[in-house]
Amino acid sequence: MVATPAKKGIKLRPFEVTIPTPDGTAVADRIKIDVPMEWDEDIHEWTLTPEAESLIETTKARYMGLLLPEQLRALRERLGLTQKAIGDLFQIGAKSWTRWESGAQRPSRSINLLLRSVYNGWITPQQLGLLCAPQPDWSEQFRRNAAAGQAAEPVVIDYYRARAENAEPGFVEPLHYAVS
Amino acid sequence: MGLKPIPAAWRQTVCAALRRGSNGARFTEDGRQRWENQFPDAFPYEVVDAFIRFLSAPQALGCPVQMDHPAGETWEFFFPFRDEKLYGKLLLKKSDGKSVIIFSAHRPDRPKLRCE
Repeated sequence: MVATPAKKGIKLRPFEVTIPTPDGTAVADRIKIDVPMEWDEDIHEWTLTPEAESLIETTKARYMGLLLPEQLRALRERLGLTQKAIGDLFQIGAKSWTRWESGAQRPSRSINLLLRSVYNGWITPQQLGLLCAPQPDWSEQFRRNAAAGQAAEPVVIDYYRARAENAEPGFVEPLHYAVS
Repeated sequence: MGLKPIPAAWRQTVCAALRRGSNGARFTEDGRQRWENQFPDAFPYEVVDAFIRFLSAPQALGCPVQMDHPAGETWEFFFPFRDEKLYGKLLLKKSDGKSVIIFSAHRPDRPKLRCE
């Protein structure tokens, strides 16, 4: 069988990008987009070009609220961090960060929530650094508060608020402390 | 008949193509849409990684497949992905000897491969 001339070369063809439900087990939505496919003479079928894969992935990531590789790079540059430093900050290692930034892999949806929070400025790197640091033993405080009929959470919240407010400008020092 | 060891040379060349991403291994339109429909929360690199893991094992078994358009060497096999058994069918193209077509990466339609 010989392909018709109309089928030869690269053509935009429709593709349905599936958007998962939050638990990932089912399709929440289907987004129709046109992507470039190439007619393969050897197999007599349309194949997806690298550009098609990129379009599909970008669409899926956008609808899932995932940060795109260029946004991850922008975040790192905005924070003035190396790939190793930001890998340490999120406790995922430089290798994973490099893969995310290059688009070779994607962060999980749960870590993406954290990434977005920092990207949007809702959590500062200082606050993140504090969470990485050795934590106080709250058990005695909890016991004392319980004996006095008081909740312990406000004490904990005050502690972190004070530390975040007193943190040095920039986050390098608390981060260094956190991961040392 | 019965499952056959997938030749080492084929496995190695296919894995090299898979590692080049979509520049080395392309989905067919039908194969890609089916993958998309069955695993909406997954990205293609995940199934490519699963292919590479499976095909890197010397004991990988499968069946050679005769295609309507014999443009190279095609093998089908079952491989693990996220605790599931998936059906895979890959072609190593004869025209350049180094690029791969991913025909299938989906939940099995049949419990056995053709040569079982």
